[in-house]
Parts: sequence; structure tokens; C-alpha cells
Amino acid sequence: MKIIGYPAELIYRPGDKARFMVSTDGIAAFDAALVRIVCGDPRETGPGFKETAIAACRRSAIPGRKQATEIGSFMTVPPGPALVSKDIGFVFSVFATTPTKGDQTLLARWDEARKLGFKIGIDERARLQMEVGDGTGATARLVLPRALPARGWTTVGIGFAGDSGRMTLMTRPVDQHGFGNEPEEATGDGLRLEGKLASLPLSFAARWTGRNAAPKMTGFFNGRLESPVLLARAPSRADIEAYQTGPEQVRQPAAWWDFGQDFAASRIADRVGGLDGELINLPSRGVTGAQWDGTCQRFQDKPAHYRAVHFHDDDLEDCGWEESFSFDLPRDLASGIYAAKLTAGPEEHYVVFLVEERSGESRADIAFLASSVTYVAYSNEHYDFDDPNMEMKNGAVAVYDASDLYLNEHRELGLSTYDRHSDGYGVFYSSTRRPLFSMHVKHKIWALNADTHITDWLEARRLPYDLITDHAVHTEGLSRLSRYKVVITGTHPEYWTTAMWEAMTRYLANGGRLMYLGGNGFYWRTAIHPQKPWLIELRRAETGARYWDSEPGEAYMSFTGEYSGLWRRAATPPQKLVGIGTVATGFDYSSYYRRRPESKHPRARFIFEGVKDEVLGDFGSIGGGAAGSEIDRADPWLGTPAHALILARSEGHTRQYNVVPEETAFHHPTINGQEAEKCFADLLFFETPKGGAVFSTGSISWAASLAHSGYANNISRITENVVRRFADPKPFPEPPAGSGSAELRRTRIDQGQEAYDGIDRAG
Amino acid sequence: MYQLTPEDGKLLPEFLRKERKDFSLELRRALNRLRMVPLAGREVIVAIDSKSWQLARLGEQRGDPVRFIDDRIFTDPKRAEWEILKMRWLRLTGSPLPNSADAE
Repeated sequence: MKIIGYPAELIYRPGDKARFMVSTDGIAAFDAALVRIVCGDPRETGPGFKETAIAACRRSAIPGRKQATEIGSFMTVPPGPALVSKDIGFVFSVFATTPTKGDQTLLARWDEARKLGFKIGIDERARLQMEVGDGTGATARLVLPRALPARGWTTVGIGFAGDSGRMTLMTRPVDQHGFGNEPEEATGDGLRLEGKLASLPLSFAARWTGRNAAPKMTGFFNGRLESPVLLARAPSRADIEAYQTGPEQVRQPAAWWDFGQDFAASRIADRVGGLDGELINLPSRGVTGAQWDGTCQRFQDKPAHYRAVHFHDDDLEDCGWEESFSFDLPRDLASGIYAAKLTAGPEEHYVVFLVEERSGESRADIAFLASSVTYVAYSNEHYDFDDPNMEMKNGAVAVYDASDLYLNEHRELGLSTYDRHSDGYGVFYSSTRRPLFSMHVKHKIWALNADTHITDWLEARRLPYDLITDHAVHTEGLSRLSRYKVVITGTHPEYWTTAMWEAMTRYLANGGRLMYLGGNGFYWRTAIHPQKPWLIELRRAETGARYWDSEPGEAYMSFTGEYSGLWRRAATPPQKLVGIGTVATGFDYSSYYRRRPESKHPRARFIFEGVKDEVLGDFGSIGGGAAGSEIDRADPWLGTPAHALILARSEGHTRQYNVVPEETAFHHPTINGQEAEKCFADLLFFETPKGGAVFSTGSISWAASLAHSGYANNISRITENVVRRFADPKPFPEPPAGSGSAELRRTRIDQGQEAYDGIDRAG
Repeated sequence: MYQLTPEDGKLLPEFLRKERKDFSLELRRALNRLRMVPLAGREVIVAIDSKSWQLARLGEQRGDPVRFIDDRIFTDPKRAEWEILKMRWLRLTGSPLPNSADAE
């Protein structure tokens, strides 16, 4: 790949100026054309790649250039009055997560180019060290002999006298027990820097290179720092001991940066006043500090226990590339999935984005709800490169395409919420301000690309639709949904914010109709940053199918203060919203559904109009079946309405499928798809108040069956039957009492017995 | 952790003969062990296009480029995976997979 880019905004509206950031490698100029993506799947087994050019938007001979990305988080403090003191000191606590990485900066006022200033860091032997340089080439260094521990808190004191150049380093472990935990202290002669540092900013967790071009920062630290206190003197041992009872206990601070407040903010207030800091590149907030003792789980309850920021050398908020070109989107442009198609000789790249109807406007009765939050959560996932268990999970050796190889080698494009940072800690945040690989077309059939099986089908079946997005539902609430008679989800609407959930709940309570054409939906409770909508956050708390799990005490999201993790654990199970919830995942074969007697019920007759088959979806371009990848089932214990009809149920899943952790409180040998009692997808229908209804498929691979046999197949027919009826304003009548599937009408006692022994007593 | 046995070597050709969903439990156990190799230097497959595949190897560190193992081009990804399984058998047992030529 020699050309790559991202849109300035993930979502545009008709009439907007769509701006694009592009980086090229060895390409002097490129062309750009706006295309509507109908289907992004290029495989011969699927519908085939389909795009439509939008003639109004074309640009040619756009100059290409390589744009740099600066990855790694830090805090910077501009020069200010509190920094002019000739004697200076710092006290704070350190929690190093890769202590032997080498050349890690804890704090610095340092110009790398001129070797001017001072820097305090950790060397490759995990030792605390201080180095000063006077800008003439002379440097002096002081090193403490003992290594800082990995993943253990140590309070450090640092002093530097401007006129004498005297350096002081001291440490005191927070945990006073164990071997080698005695305090340490050393002093040494340094260099006189009086008056030479005035223009140098102070930085924590990285240091300035003194360059005007990238890289502007170097020496990134992996680990946590706790609220630093600045002194106008060298610290004493009493200062360190005072700090360990709380930074506010240190006497006569010149400044102190409190990481235990404004957890969503990048601005860090100086509690003394006048010297605020700025966090760059989204280090982790709402994480436990040295004082955390397990007596609280929520940072709002005891902020003093969460006075830490976790910095990583691979954090990224914004690539910050400059704009390369823009398109004025036509005012009458239909909503949908679009791309700026970039070409330069044989090179081609699609910068995909979404065009959504303007607020308060709609053109169709049908809305396709693009899972825009989920697309962001998956970008940019590296688990096929970094997680040793993925080959076992997939049951096959990893196969990479050119896009995968590019992402692996360009780590500066940042991680996904599926990844771990380079120090092993989970990634909380994801940003749209960078190339988003989960939105790539002509790529793996997942996320947005898999959702184009639905948009392709809607167009093939001549079903007019508007595209709307998670982000707009989050922002606009019910009003974004209420203009539509039916809302259709994507294949994998996994990540939902509270505002999205509430909007959908209200939509259904007001007679809305929802078609959930996916699996593993409504799974993780997610947050969108209240001021920076390009950012999302989640925590992998408590349980669920996870690629990392939250550290103790860190289940609450820094953006909103909400408890994260599974919706099933955090608030409402998906079964209450759509009747079904995740039961298993597996990625080798997909299976089929077998109809149940309920499919013949008069309430469900419209769904099966023209469908005589008993076996549904024994075909498809993902695993060969309509029931697969990630599957959901009904569960009255978790809230499936008693009047719901389980129309069909999948069967015959393979051993590569495994029941998700939240479905089995302890592990045993019969949780695989072949042996588990409940490893199946349920096809479900139920009515909601005021004439509404829900149709749920519970399978990611459902949509990959729609195009089979020229769209003439039972999955396509069923889906179309439901869309057309759901788009019909005629209300669904309230179902007769007792007309739901029998297994949904059990008493709570029956369900309790079932939960107790894991066996379905009713058979 | 499971230790591969000579009996597993005799089973492995089943990988070529059967669909994945029909693999015996014993073959699955052997395959699981062959998949549990360290990430550093792990053998992988690169799709050159939709019809050709090549054998490659992960680097030692995160972000290291994936390097091709040799020049062979495979037109069947399962055949490429078989070559990788043979390499891992050799790596884990110290001996080439016996009778693999017969299976092919």
C-alpha cells in the first residue's frame, strides 16, 4: 500500500464539505473520485464488489506526500512563573510497566538537539537516573543503584539546584514490606543551568526532541505517574513521606497536577494555580493509583485512589495529518456508504466514510443503522498478529492480506479496543482521526464490509433506505429513529452507548419496528466522549468474550463515569431489547436454522410467506450457512419476552464454537458447539407496544446468505417479507396471552432449577 | 500441555483427506498443539491475491515485517497450511513428519 488516508469526519451529511487526509509513499500525485459503495466484498463466493461513481465529485493530480504520525502519550506544561525558580524539585509516585525498556522519560525540561536542560528517567536496567546538559555539550548524570520494580508503586523525589547544579534523587517504595524496599537517596554535582531553561516546556512521560518536524517527542514511558508536585526547592524525605499520605500534604508546593479530577479532560489543572498541563495522545485515565486499596471500585467515590495517569508509547488520539483535498457533497446525495477512491497508476485505496440524512430529514421508510461505534471499536485491531491464541480460536493458520501486513508494520496508526498496549495493558480508547481499517472495503468480511451485504441486498431488492448511524442515534436520540417505520441493524451491532440504548428502547415502546440482522449485538456498554465525538471508550469488565480484561478497580469509564462491560452485567441484557443475546462464537463453519412449529403460528405467517423449506440458510458466503460466526439465543431468565416466538433454531455447530464465558459460570468440557446443550442461534419475532415489533436473527453470517442464488433463497425471502411488513404502518396487534413459545413461558422456579444445574429440564 | 506422540504423526494426513468439520478428536488435539507455538517466528500464510498464497513467518517483535519463507506459490490455502503444519511438526518433535509424501 503506497497510499492511505482518512476522512476528517467519519460521518458527513449531504451538502457538507468532506475533507480528506492522505499520506503517500513515493507517489507524486493521485486522483480522487467519490463512489457509492454498494458491496465491498470482492470474493467470487459473495455478491461481488459493486461501486457507483458520483460524477459531481472528482479531483485529479492531487499532490502526494508522506505525512507523519506521532504516537505515544505524555503531558506537557508550558513555561510559566512556577518554573523560573533557580531551585526546583518534584515529588510523585511511579508505577513502571516496562521498567527495562530503556530510555524512558519520567519528566524533562530538555532540548535533545542542544543537550540542554534536565531529564529524569529510567535506564535499561530500570534504575532512576537524572541527566543535565548545559547546551555546550557538557552533561552530568546521577543514577540510583537499585532497579525500580515492575508494576509496583515507588515515590520519587527529584531535586536540582540551578546555581550550584547539585542533583538529588530519592525513592521510597509505597509498599514498605518485602526485600529491598528500603528508601534510597543520592546526590551529585551537576551543571549550572541558571537562566538557560526559560523557553523549555516541562514534559512528563516523554521529552521534546527540539525538532520542528516529527518526531517531536522521544523517550516515551510505559506506566503510571501519580499527581506530580513541583517544589521551589529540593525535596526532603519528609516531603516524600507526606506525599504518600496525599500530594496535598506536601508543604509549600509551587504547583501540583491533580490527576484525580476531570477524568474526561485532557487539561490537567494545577491545584496551586497558573501552570496547567495538557495530556497529549490520550493516556488512560480513571486508573488506580498508589493509594487504591480495594475499598472502592468507582473513581468518583474516592478520587484520591485514582490520581494516576497510565501513559503508553503506543497511545494515539489523532494522526493530525494535513488536509489533502475535499469534496463538496451534493445537497441531494442519497445517504449511504461512500468512499473517496484514490488512484495513482496501479495503486488504489478507498477512504470510506458514511453519509447520513440530515437531522430532522428522511427520504425513506426504512433506515439502515450503520454500526459506526462498532466500526471504531474494531479499529485498528492487531489480534491476528499479537494474540497467540487467535490461531487456536480460528482453527486455522493466520492468513494475511496486503492491508493486514501494512497495518502490522505501521503501528503508528494506533490500536483497537481489542488490543493490548505494548506493556500488556488493555486499550480503553479508539479514535476516528486516523485510517480506520475496520472500514476498509475489498478487505476481510467483517464490520462495515460485512454490512455491505445488507446494503447490497436492499438495493438488489429495490428497497429504498436511508442510512443512519450509531453516532447520530447517540446524539439525537429518539428523533433520529422515530422518522422510520423500520430500522435494520448491521451484522454486528456490538457496541452501544447508554443514549443509543435508551433511544432504541423508546423507539420500540412507541411502535417502532427493529430488524436485528446480526449476532453478538448490544453486547458492550460503550461511551462516546462528551466533547470529542471522535473518541470512544469501553472497559472489558467482569465477564464476556474478551481479548483482555480490565484491571481490578477499573471498570468505570473515564469519559462518562459509567460502569462498562457487558450490557448484560452493566444494566439491561440484550434479551430485553431484541429477545436474544450472545451465546457462542466460532469462525470455521456456519450452520443452518431448522424451522420450529411456532413458524406456522398465525402471528408469524407473514414471515414465511412463500417459504416452504424446513431448513433455512444452508448456504452462504461466510462459512456456508446463515447461522454462524457469532450467535445469539433467547433466554427468558435474561428477559426474552414471554410472548416471543422462536421461529427457527440453528443446529450442528462445530467444536470450534465455544459458549461465551457469561453463559457458563465455571468451565467444563461440554461448552463447545458440538456438545453444548445450548449452542444455537434463535430466529425470533415478537410484538412491542403501540403496534411495533422486533425480528432478530442472532447470527453474524445471516447477511452473507442474502445474495445466494441471485437473491432468490429462503433467507432473502424471509428478510424481505419482514422488511415489507415492518414498513407497512398497519399496527401489529397485541398478541394473545400465552401465545409465545412454550419454553419462554416457564415459571421462575423452573428457570432457577435450570440455572442451578445447567440442564434444560423441560427438554 | 499436550505432548505430541508418534501416533499423532500417523493421524496428521487426515488434515488433507477430510473437511475441517469432520476432523477426528485425536487430530484436533494434535492440531491444537501444533498451533500453540510462540508468536515470535510463527509460520503464517500471506494471500497474494484471491487465488494464490505464500508461506511466511512473523518477526521477533511487534510490528516486525512478515518475511516470506520461500518462493513457493500455493493455489490452495489448505495445502499451504499443511506445509506449515509439517514445519511445526519438525520444530516440535525434532523429526520430519513421517510418510507425508504418501499423504500428499
